[in-house]
Amino acid sequence: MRIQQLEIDRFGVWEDVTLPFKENGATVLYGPNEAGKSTLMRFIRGVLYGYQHQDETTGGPRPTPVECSGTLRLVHEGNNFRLRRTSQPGTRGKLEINGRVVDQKDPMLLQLTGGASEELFKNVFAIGLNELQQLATLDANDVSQHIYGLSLGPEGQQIFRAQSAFMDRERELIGHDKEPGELRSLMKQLEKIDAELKRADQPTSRHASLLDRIDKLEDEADARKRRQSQIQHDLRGHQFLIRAWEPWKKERDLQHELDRLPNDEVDKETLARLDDLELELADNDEKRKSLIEEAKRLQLKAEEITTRPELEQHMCAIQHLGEKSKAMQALERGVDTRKSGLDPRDRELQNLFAKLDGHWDLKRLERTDVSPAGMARLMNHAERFRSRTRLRARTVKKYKQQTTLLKTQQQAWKTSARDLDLDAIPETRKVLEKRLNDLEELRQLKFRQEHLTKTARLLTQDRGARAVGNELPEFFWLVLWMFVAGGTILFGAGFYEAFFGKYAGVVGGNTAWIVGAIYTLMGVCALGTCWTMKQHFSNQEFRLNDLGTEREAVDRELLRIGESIERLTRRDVMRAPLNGTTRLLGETESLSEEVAIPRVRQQLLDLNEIERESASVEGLRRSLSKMRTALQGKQKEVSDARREWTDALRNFGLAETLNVEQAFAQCQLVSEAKRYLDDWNASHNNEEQQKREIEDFYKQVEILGENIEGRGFIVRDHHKALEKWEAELSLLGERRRERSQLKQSSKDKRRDAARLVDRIDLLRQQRETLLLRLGVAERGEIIKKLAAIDERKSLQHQIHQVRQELQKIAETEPELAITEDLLRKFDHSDSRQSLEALRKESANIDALLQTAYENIGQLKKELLDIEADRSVSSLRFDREQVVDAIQDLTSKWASIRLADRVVGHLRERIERERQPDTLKTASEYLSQLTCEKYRKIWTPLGEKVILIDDDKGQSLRVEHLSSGTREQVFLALRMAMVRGFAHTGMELPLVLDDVTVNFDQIRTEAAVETLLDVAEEGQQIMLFTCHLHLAHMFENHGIDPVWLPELRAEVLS
Amino acid sequence: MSRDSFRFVHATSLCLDEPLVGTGPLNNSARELAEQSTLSAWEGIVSTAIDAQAEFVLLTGNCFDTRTESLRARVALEKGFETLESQGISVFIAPGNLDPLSAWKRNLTLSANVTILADEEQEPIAVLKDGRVIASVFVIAMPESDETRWSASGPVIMNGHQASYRIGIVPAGTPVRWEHDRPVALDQPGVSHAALTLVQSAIEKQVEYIALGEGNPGTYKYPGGIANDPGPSQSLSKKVTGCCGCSVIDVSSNGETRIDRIAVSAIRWEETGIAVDGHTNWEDLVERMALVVMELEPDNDEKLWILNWKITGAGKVFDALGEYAKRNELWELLEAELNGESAIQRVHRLERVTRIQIDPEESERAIGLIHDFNMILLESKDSLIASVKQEMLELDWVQQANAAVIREGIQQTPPKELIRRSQALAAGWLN
Repeated sequence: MRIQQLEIDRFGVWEDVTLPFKENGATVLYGPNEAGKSTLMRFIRGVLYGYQHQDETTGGPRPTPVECSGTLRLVHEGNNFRLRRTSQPGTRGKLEINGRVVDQKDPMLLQLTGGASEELFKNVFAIGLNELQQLATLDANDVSQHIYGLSLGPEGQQIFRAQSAFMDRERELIGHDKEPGELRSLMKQLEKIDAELKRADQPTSRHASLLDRIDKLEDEADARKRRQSQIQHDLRGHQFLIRAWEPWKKERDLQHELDRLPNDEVDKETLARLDDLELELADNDEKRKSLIEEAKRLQLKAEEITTRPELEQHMCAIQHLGEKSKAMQALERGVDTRKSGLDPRDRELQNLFAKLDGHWDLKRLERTDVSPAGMARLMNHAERFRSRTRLRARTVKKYKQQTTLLKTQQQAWKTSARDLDLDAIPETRKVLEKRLNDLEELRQLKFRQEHLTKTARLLTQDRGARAVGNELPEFFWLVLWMFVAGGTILFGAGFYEAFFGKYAGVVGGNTAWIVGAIYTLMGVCALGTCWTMKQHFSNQEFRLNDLGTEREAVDRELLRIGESIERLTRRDVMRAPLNGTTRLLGETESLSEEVAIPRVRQQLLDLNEIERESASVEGLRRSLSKMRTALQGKQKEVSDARREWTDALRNFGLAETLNVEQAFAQCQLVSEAKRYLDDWNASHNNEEQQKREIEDFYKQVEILGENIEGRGFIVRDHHKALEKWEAELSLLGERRRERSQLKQSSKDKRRDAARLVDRIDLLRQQRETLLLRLGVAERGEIIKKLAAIDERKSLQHQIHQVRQELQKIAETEPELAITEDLLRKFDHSDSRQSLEALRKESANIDALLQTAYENIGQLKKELLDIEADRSVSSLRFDREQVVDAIQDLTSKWASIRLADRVVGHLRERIERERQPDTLKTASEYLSQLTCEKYRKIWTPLGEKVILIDDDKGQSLRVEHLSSGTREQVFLALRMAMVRGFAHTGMELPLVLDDVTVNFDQIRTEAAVETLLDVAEEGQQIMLFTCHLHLAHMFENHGIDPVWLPELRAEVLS
Repeated sequence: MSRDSFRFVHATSLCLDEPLVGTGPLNNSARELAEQSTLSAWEGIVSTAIDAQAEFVLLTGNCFDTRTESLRARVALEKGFETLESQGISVFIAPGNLDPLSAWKRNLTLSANVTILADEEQEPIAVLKDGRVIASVFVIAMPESDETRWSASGPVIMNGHQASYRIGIVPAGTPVRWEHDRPVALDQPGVSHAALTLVQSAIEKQVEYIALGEGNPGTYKYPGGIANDPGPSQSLSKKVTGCCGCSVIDVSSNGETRIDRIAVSAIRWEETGIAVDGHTNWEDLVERMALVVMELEPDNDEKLWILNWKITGAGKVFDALGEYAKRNELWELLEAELNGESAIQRVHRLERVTRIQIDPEESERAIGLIHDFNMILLESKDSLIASVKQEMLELDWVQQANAAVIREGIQQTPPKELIRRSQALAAGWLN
């Protein structure tokens, strides 16, 4: 939008003024103070955005409303527009665009202003010195987003976000004194643990101290133990002395006594010899006397022994009968046993008879045939009987199963056919079949009727002639021709192959004709398909002249069909249901054919099912009848077999029974009884023979008795008599031998006694010689001498025993030694006292040792507790975890700082390289405005701060600049923004109201050049000034200022 | 050459009674387990030596931290040595940087079966079996190995000695690390390269077994021998993951060395990265995590797993995991999924690499910002890091006495870690 002309009817100081403006370039309006320059700027703003309240009132203390009106003539995109705004109470003025009243939101107006808000226009496009100087005017949202680092692009935002996150994280880690972060909290935790570790006992020193104490206590205990050992040693010594003193004293006494005894040297051997001689003498004398007496006694005894010669005479008979006697005794016992009671076998027989059924005796048993042949016959009969019985049982079982099945099927059949008259089933089937046929016919007739009705209707409608058929596409015919060609080729090739077998070598001679035939067939098929398709898809023509005839035929057919339908329907209605078929037929009467036909078919199927079940039941019945006949046959066979079996039992002698096992058990018993009976019979014959033998034996013994003992001797017990005779006979030899031996012994004894007399004499002589040699007259003297010697020996033995006792005592204490002197000085009472004292000391030391050991145990327990104590380890464990966490967090912290540092570098680079275009452009303008004193305007990321780099590269905040430079910065920024807005389609004139008043001469000239450069770029600039030199400066650059009226008058004057 | 076969146990970095780092909150039982873990691992090593009927136990440094002066560590060591002595098992110890010789002499009462190898100049110790020498043990290099301090005789490895089986020790803290089966010197200011020279010499002289003590598990073969680091008996942090324990070394009669790793640690660390995206739902995440856990093979001695889940990506699930309650919910779901899967207690920790989703249109226009960030960071990383650290250290509250840990943290945080974290942060906000 460019302003061509201002036409002010009334606005402020201006009335009926028209001011033209250059569309391109700068327009400089010079006017003194109060010339109305600022009013013109407000007018432009007022027409575009509405008048302000102060514009529509008069000045002074009591403002009165003033109507403002004026027009802006504009050019926008080659079109001229006329914007007129007239004051309207309660509003900011009535706006007209090209004579059309519009509101402030009119699209045309928005298009003209480029959507720039009033605030934006006021802060950027139409500014006075006040707006220029105020930094706040750059903080408005519309403005700041083009200036500050918020708009350093997505990367800048990412960096900004990253640095914020790093800062937050660092804050979380570190925190501050009042609210410590994770790291500081961990440090506090660590301090606490360290303090606890310090407070904890030093286990090492404590352990060492305890070890020392234990060592000391153990040393003390060892010393006491040594003293205790010494005491024990002393005690043992005293006790040893006490024990040894008594035997020692005894030994000494015995030794004294021994010394007192005379030590005669008696020849002990001589004395022993004398004793031996006397003993031998006495012994021989005694022996002689006893021999003589023995001889006499033997002689007497020999005379007393008598003999029986008659026994020796019958010695052979006695020995023979004696040998026979034992056998006879056995026979007698056998006979006696049989006589005394029943034979064991007889008892067995009776037992067996008792077990057998019926009355059994020996006679019946003897009659019974238990031969193997008889048993075999019986077994055969039994086997036959059992097989027949089993067969019958199987048949019966099968019969029962069939009966059960029949009952089940019969029940099912009865259930399914409960409402049917079974006799009427065939008739019902016929009825249903007939009905089904009728229904199907009815349906076909109805179809036909419907079809004909449609045909008739068509025939009625289609009175004009027309060809019916579809136009077929080209490719259809092409394909059809390809089929024809292919079919023809296949047919030809097949025909040729079939007759000449060209490919015989490839496919085989025998199969060539088959291949040919297949090809021919495929060709025929293809041709046929083509012909059919052609016939089907070809156009058809209808002849018009036959329609009347066809209509008549159709009507006739319709009439005929109608009659048929009525006939069938009537027949259907009039048909009476059969008995028992109601259930099947009743429901189909009122139904349509579509419903009724499936139902009738289902009924027919049901009927078939009932009939099949009936047939199955009947089949089962027939089968049962056959089985009954078979069962009767089996029963007859069983009867025959049973009769034969019972006959066999009867023949065998057993009771009749059907239990075969029982019968065979009885049979077994009978066999056993029979065996016993046979044995018994054999033993009875033997007994008679034995009795005869016994009688003969008795007679022989009785004859022998008479021969030995004399006539009239009665033998009471034949065997004992024989034993007696045998005993006497055996004794008789012995007696004879004994008598002769006695006589001989008597003689020997007498001879021995005679020999002893000489020996006795010799011994007496030797004794006398010996006494003479000992110098004693009698034996008593020798005995006295020997008694003295014995006493000495006794004393020596006692001394030996005492010494052994002493030795034993000494061996009990091998470590102790007692001197003779100690024993001599030994005082029993003193020793007792010493012993008591030592015991007391020992008890005292024991108590001390006990205490020491308790202390040591306690200390060792403490030592073990310390060794097992994990508290310090636990604290160190905690400490290590905290230290690890601190180091980890420290590492994180350092990495955050490092990352932040690098991101800071990135940020600097981006701030340096990726400042918004607005700031870049502004930097160029500023450089020009300040003659390159200040070269760059930039803003740090995320901060609403404007920094300016001077020619030394130093960055200064805008607040630190001089007011003139600051105004140049702001002017540069606005010009840059205007340029930026222009690129986005927001083309509005730049209206500057004396914004260069604080510029020095050089920078004013620079500003003029800069503005002209901007104007040359196509920006419309309206510069209001009250400074003549500025107007002249523009004038020097070929820009003729517009001299506002008053000024013009001055110039003119 | 035929010689006696024998077996020994090699363990290192016992760090007895040293606390685990970075476990996070633990329940009472887990806490007790954590506090006892290093000691129980040492007991496990002693049991292993006894069960394996080892001839001797080799401890290659950092059995304890002398700064801690832990009584429990001392008592545990003494008891362990006594137990080994009762079984006739010798112990050879090479002090590391945390448990110097002076600390061993000052603090511990050692039983007769324990031999401490002072430095690289000490004569090799002959190991006897049935009166015959089966091996010799000596120190190759020490944390403080320095040519200027060597006597006229010089280190043992330089002189060379013959034995049926030579075991050289490079204890914990020695400034040598292994890269691609080769030793390299730790490139730190003021660190002598003498240790590296000595280790290289040991390799050249084909020392049969080089016992490494740094606690970085690994086995490195070289012509004529093998170097082995069994790793810590109990990992103290997530820096060493997986099973931890000791090595049982079998030396056969023909001189072949076979190494079996025996796990004795009660607590196992695992770190697993899982990437999620906008399509990932809770079920998917839980299933993937459960699969990871199921694929871990538990060892008999292990009682607690500390599982560090590193979740990267974006999406609703990822965002939700920022909430404590949601994390707990995730652990509950995961444990429900793992119901019946071994009797080992599990503790889950989650590390989330934050990414902020921004408007796609903005994202499109912001391409290159992260690139610029990385460029600036990598171009002047040293100066940036130095200035940031300096700036932090100069803060008043950081200079206070109670902030020593923070100062230490600032100074000790590796530049790589700082750069990685900074890049992650930037990726979250600038990508």
